[in-house]
Amino acid sequence: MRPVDIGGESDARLVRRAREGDGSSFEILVRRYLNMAYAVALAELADARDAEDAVQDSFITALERLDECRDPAAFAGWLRRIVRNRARSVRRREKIRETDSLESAGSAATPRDPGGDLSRSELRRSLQAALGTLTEVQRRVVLMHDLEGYRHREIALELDIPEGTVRSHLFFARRALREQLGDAGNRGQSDG
Amino acid sequence: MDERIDLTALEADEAQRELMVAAVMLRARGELERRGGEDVSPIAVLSDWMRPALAAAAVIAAVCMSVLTQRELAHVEPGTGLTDALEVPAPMNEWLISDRSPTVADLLIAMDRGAN
Repeated sequence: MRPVDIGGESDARLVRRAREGDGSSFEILVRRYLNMAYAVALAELADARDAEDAVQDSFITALERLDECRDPAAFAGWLRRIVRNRARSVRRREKIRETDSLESAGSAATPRDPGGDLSRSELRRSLQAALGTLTEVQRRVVLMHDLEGYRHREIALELDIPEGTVRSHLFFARRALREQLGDAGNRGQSDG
Repeated sequence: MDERIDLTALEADEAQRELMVAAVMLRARGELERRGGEDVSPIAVLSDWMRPALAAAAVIAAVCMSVLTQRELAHVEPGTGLTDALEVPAPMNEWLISDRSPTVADLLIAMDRGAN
């Protein structure tokens, strides 16, 4: 899931224009990095709706703090940190809420998108449950590699860990996911 | 060699994407309007102002130099040397012609002549 190629203009240029209030430039940035932001939020949150909210909040925060983005060309990494922090904040809040209302847990298991594709929703829930069993770094690595399309070296740089460690985390994360998902998780695509 | 896990079910579908974009842009409207209407930072104003100001200063300097040079040279009789035209002091002219640095004695003599 690489950044969606929209507009063809550099991030730096779009950021500079968005700083001046250019809505079109900001919208291109939103569309370009929506998938990435959503994947990052999902890596932290179990609920798709919470992830959507975190993504929206993160883009608004990014816009409000756009002047703090020292290197506009590195907007993606800066945004990623905002999304991750926002998602973690939501997760902490959700944990507190769950603790406060354990007795109503049964109703919380109801699918939130009854109108959507049920099998996709089920698979998504299975994936999220399986991802929830991984360690934080395993989850990040497998999502960055298998969902967002990052290479080992790029993940190593992003997470500031050795490339060999990335490979190791990826191996164990995939093995754990396969054990829980069975054949549903096999894409049949060679490793990159 | 390992194979990727199919995580595409986690991706937002098209409808979800459009809804998120619309929601973000709706919420962003106020901030974008504020940014569009606000005065830019002093540094930005200064940097915008600096370039044309420097260009204008360069033009003015060039025009002034040209006018001053013409006025200075206008009253100079033909055949007068450049150092005379520019009113370079005679002792300095001699040092320039002889291509040597003045000694302390030269400077004292020149100052004495100037005083007289």
